[in-house]
Amino acid sequence: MYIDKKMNKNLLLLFGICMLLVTTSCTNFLSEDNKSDIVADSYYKTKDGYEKLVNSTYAQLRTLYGNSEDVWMYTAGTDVFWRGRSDNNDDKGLSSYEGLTPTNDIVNQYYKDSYHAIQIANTAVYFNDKTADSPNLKKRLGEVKFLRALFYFNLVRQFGGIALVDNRINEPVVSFKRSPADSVYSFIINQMNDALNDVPEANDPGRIDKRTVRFFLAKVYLTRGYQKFGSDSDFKQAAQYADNAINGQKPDITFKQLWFPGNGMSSGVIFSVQYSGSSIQDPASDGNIQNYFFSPYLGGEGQVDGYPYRSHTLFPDKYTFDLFSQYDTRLENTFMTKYYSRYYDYFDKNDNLGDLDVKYYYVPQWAENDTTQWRAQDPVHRDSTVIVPYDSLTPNLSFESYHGAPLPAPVKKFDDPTAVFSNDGSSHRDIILARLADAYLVSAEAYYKQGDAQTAADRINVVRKRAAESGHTSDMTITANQVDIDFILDERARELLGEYHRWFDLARTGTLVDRTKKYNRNVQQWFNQGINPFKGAGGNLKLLRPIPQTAIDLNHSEVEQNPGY
Amino acid sequence: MLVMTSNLYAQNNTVSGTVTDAKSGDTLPGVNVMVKGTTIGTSTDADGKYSLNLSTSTDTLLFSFVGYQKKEVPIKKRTKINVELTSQTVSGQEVIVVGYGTQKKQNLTTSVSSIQGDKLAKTGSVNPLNGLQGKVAGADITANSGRPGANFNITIRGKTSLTGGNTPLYVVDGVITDNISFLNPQQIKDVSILKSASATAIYGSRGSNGVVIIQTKQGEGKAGQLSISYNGYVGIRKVARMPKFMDGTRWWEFRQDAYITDALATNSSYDNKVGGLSNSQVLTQRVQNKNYTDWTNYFLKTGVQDNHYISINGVTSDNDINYNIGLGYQNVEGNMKGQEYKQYNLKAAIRTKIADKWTGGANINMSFENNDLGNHHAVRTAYRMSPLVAPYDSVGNLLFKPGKYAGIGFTSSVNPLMDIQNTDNNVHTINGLGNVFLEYNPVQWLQVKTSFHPEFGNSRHGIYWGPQTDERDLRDGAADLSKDQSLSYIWDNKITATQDYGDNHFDLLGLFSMESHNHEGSSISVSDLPYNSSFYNLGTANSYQDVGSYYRKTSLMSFMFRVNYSYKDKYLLTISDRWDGSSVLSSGNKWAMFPSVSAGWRLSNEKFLNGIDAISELKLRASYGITGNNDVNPYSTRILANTQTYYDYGGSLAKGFAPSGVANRNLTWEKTHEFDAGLDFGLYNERVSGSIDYYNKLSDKLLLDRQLPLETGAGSITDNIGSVRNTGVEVSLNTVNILSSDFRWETSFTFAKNHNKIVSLYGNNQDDVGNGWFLGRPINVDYTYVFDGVWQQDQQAQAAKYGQTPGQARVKDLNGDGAITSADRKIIGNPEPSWTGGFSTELDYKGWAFSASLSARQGVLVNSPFHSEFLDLNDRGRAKLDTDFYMPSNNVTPTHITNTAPQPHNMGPYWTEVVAYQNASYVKVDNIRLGYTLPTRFVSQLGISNLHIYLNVQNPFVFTPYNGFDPQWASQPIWSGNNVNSYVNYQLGINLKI
Repeated sequence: MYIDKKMNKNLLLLFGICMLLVTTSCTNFLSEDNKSDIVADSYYKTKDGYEKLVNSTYAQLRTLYGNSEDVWMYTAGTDVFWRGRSDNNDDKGLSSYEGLTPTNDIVNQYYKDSYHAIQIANTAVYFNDKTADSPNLKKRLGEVKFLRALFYFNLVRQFGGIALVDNRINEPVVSFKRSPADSVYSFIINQMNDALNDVPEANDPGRIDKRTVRFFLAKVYLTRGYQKFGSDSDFKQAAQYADNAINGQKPDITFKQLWFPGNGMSSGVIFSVQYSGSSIQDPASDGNIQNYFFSPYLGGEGQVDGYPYRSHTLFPDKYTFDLFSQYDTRLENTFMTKYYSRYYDYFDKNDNLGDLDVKYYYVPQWAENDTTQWRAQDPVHRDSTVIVPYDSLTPNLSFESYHGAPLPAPVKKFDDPTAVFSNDGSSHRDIILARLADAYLVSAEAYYKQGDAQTAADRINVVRKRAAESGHTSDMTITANQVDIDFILDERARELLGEYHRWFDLARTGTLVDRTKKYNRNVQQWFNQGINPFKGAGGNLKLLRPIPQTAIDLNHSEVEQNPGY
Repeated sequence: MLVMTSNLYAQNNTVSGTVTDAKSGDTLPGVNVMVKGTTIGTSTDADGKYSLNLSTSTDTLLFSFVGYQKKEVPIKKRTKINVELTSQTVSGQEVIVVGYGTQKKQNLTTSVSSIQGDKLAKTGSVNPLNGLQGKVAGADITANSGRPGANFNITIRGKTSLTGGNTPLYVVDGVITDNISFLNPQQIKDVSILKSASATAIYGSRGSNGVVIIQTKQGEGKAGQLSISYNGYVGIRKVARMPKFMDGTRWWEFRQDAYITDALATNSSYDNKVGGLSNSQVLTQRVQNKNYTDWTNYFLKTGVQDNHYISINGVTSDNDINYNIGLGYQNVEGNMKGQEYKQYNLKAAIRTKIADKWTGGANINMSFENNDLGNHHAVRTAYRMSPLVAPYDSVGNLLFKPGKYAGIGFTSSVNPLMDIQNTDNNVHTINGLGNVFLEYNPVQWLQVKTSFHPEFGNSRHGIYWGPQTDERDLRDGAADLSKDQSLSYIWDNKITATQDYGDNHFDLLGLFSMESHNHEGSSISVSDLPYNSSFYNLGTANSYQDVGSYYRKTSLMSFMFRVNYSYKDKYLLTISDRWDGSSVLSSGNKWAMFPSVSAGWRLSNEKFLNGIDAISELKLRASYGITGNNDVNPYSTRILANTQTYYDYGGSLAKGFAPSGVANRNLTWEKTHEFDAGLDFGLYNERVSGSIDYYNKLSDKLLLDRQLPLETGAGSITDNIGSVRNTGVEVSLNTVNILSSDFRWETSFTFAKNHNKIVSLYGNNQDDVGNGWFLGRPINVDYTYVFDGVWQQDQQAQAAKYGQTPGQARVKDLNGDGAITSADRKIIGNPEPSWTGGFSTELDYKGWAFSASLSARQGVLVNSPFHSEFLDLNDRGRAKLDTDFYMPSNNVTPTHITNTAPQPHNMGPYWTEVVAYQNASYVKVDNIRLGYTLPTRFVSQLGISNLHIYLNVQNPFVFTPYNGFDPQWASQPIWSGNNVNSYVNYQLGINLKI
């Protein structure tokens, strides 16, 4: 086994050469080799990379409107919905205010998501003049500036003055000062004006165009008009932008058609958060959750029996149902007033509804005395129908049902019959943020605030006539002297129920306390015990959301908390 | 080889025999055999045989051999005397494995614990860490699951990192690896646990959490010897210590109570519809006939556990080649249906002389694991099933949703039995690591060694859910498939030198090392599979949810030296330093230095102690060292465009890539500074030995995921913020209580107490309540309200002030402001043990061997998801832990006035905040083992040199106040499939050597 001395030397030599080779070749040994990811700075400077950055700015809309936090922030604690089974403190805080604190996770998440979205928009603005030239660059700048302004518009309405961050942050920054609300509004208007200049009259479907910007400018001015730093000219501007957004268009599709699944991009829509089956990874969770909140739990077998998963949280109450008068088609097109044997039959067999058995019928107030006749109209399909009397429509406790009929009547306008049965975002219907009818109502409110009740009534009537049962338009028409803020708010509730405007509407018009005290049973409970649930620290009212405690803790600047917290 | 002396008498008596090792049964060549009081003697030959001619047969023979206890045997006229010698631990002479080398125990100046492989194997564990429980002072080891193939968590000397891992560095045959669960305990030669920073500083940037060095078995023995051995056991795994759930009667009462509560609150009537009984005739019957289902009978079973290991060990007759080949198989079938773990091992080691002064060798350890993880939904739903629902319908078919059968309106949960039947969840893992080396000894005192250590890993995880599963709920099947592979290598080049200058002894070590770790993988999720092709035909799916792949690479370059100096074996000094350069940090921050120094003073070698016979060893030692932690994700110092987003414009897909956030270019090494002082002692000729250590370590520039202000929109970055101090004492004590020629009794104790506290945070020294980090307190604390019983009926008015009603759980208003707010929370405990300890004992009497070991973990308050789940008294459809809940008087069910648990369906807002905090301290008997070694004379006729048969029981007893499953996995989520039943293993095994 022993080898001679020559071998010994050879081994030594080999060993030496190896060492030398390796040690000289290791100058790059410690540099990073990243094959799967691309460094942001170089990618966003390419044409394609920049488009991807803009796309991801749009995608933030899904985060800010598609998740459960968003539903709470936009619609909970208002006159039209009360809180069902949800017992946790975060939900309670947002729906009845008493327990609303700076540690509320939903508020925290919303704040965090908003600034995350803003930062992506900032990055897109930053790279706009550094990226490869392309004919789209100007409109893309307008688009991302608009989106950023929209994110700020939501923030300023929820939180009042907040930190204005409009630069790209690429290193740890630890100090941010709150800007006063009026500067935030100026920034928003300023950015939206830039956008109006940059985006085309008609953009690709789903993208920001001039009409969208005009619509939102109208809303921004309308909202600012109510602020203490606002002025009458704000209402004037609001009316003007709203009318520009309307651009003479009359509603040309019915309320039913507008909300029927599959009609996402109809003429009634100005701008919506886009969803489609192809742009969703996990059909059980990557869609939006708008179809999930506003109704009772319908049971655990929806996958088989053909009905949606419902969270049993935000319930329309008596006030909400009372809003609708006879001849207003929006009641039956907002709620599933007739529940066929399969819930989804209404959508899937809509052309042949007459051939189907009605399982439950949530009878409207005005038809309550007529149920015998209603059955008699079609005994074959209505004999065994459970008719839910109007009085029983809104239960005292959650999880009550009326002879098997879930209570209250389910909200159907957001239903997606193609959605997977899931307790997470499964709807891939668009979330409508701006639509023609809303533009009419914004215009109406702006004229009313300027003292022009007649034009206000005219605008409102356009919306109401469209909603009228055929042959009953005159029953739905109103006169100028019927117009007041309460009427406008009622009309907005009828038209826009569940559309993520309600908390803003009440906050803007300063009616949050009064209307929830009057109509929201969770808030009423407190008032009934002699406690004003809005009254917080120092006796101040909680009319804005609390700045999240984590935001205050992490910020090295001194941050003033909002009143009441 | 006969040694004769001159004064011979008449040689008329001959005595002969064989000398063997008492433990292994190996024959011992070269043993000195003398007639007592004479110079007559001989020594044994290569086969351990001796023969002596004597003048008288009444003398006494004296057997002596280096490393063995002397033995005197009177001849008593016998002609054949076989003798077994017991090996003797010579004080401090054991060789201990330390970083990049070995050291005699007597010369150690740092804190290192060493355990022999056979001690691990004796516990009958599948996972090597399992066998270490309670045996190493300062190593806190717990199982994280009751499923087969479970992993074990180990924390050495307390937690350091706030967010990152606290796992030690594992070094297997020189290869740095993520875990050691792929090793069969049978293939392990020894385990060294380096605890103090002075010991781990040699591993520089990765030494902060301690180092576990494992040597696998190598070819060894005497020239020309070949042995084949088989070690194995078969066993059963029985469900044990099940939590006490409500039986049917109790549950039905609870269910009714939950209804009555609502009715009482609204003053509505409740007589006839209580519990939802009227809806279902089947349910009415079951309640009347007390026909209840114990679901555990259906989904739990007795499992099996076995381990078989064959090895061939030998040395060629010219003493040039040593080899060891091993083949192993372990199988654990879990108690939960669908959970099974199999492990196959292959090991081969060879070492050979290549030329004069040159030695080479290679060593590989390969494993193949096949792990059926079962269905994690089913684990949860199985335990949730109420005793009033049954898995089968009236004709014996499995029900899909038993809670919905025949009008029973309990829960829509899918039948766990069906769920399990229709799910595949399988992980295949192949691991290989090893080394090839070349050693050059130009002169006797100098050695140059280069070794290359490759490691590869390949794992495939496939999941299939059929339509009849909870996941799919009758939709077509879905599947996930992910594959990961890793390829790493370490190249070490080492120079060692040993020199004596008079009384001065020097050991020098120099090292240059390069290593690279590559990981890549891919994954895909699909749904709507048209037929059951498990996860083997994803192309047939109608819908693809997720497709992904990744690549990660890190590299490290190091230089290191170490000097050991001793003077007269009395004064010991070790100095080492390591420089590490890492790819994960940005340039300018890549390199760091990790020095250490340690010193020892062997008082037992001083003259002033020479006269004291009781002291055989006494050494004082002290050390100081700096170690690092570079547990940073690669590429975290640059902003990447890697956050994929999804959107569409009017239906046309618009994927996006958002920036990864804010990068931290200044990221640098986390460093731990540790001082350790210790005392090693041996008394009464090592009958009592042990050590005591005190340590104080400060981990600074802690690598921590730090939240940036929300306004940056960036979430968190990894940053060096804050510091944590761990101080503690460790004691280990080994006593040989009885030692005679055929009776030996040994016991050992370990004890460790660690105190952990956060010293600074974020530089501005503020508590971070959000993350639960408080200055001066341990890293992990339980921060919540203080449970104060249940609001009683007569406290209605007082309860109302807090917005509560009688029956609800009450918590203390700590600041007395008349309201329960977040300010009423406090630290009520912490999940890390206040002390850990172990005890083990071995008794050998003739061929009999009895051993037992025990480990303890005390002062543990965990957040137990089990209790959140099974003491959720709001829910009324699922099984519950049997607890004494509150129930006011009503006209249907019994009244319970208690402060233990609130009223069903009226828990109040704080019950969920307090119910999960449970004392999970325990004292556990790890194993009890009784074995018998068959007499050599009996087995040698069968050509067997040693045969040992034993019975072993694992986890026979656990003493704990925790009433969920095993307290070890009390903090595991209930839906992970990890939080499952405790069990006891009964094993019957043999060790056989040819």
